[in-house]
Amino acid sequence: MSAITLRYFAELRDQVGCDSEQLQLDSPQTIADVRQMLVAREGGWVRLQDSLRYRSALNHHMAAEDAIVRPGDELAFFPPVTGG
Amino acid sequence: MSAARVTVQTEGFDVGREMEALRLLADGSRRTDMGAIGCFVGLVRDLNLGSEVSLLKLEHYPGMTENSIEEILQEAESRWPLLGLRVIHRVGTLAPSDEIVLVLAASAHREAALESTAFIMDYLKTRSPFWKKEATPEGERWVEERASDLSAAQRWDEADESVSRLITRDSAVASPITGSEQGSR
Repeated sequence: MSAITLRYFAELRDQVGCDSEQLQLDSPQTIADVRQMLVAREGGWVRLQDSLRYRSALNHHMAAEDAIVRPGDELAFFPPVTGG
Repeated sequence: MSAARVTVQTEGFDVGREMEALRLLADGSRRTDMGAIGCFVGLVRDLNLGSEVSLLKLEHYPGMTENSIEEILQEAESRWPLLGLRVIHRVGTLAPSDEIVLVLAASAHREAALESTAFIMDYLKTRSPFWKKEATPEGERWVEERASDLSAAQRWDEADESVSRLITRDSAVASPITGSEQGSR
């Protein structure tokens, strides 16, 4: 398997019109690299450029932008949390 | 440990029943070492930012949410002497006056019980992957983070840092999931 699972939550999901997808990776990429791949889609995806607002979690843990994403990983993007 | 201490569920909860469960040992007898139980219940209000809220929709990140809250509880246990913890957070569609979240923290004395309860809520509100959407007369809108919540969480970091000058400690708790750095937004 050479794909990663991408997940989008809350208002971001509304804006990109997608809650989950598979993305083929030719080789391991950083989260920042994957983010740029998504931003390049234009339209609602451009807002992912704002990495302060739209944070990421890799395999269910918060991750830094330079973290490496590998095939089989799950990478989620979402706006600031509002639970409690 | 038999039952899970962190639950994300759509159903409501009974505070009295949860508190009683926290006070029991495995054999069904009551614990005698607990001297205090801190308790917080979050409820849905009918008003936010000047608009009437008729419904609140809560979503979360299954697989990450329970782990996130469990990490917060472990952080609380590293800071205070705690004898029991219970967190229930609801998701789904809720109405004004519905309970949303329960935090119970038991200790021998009240300072640890009350402070850890507040700490857990402050961290949960800034770190756990839940998102709220309100239904108002003007339409549905996503709730935004609040600077006051970020400040509330930061005060525990400042308090911890003053202790850390004396004791070096690794923290496994992730940084706040916010849209701003140091409240600069």
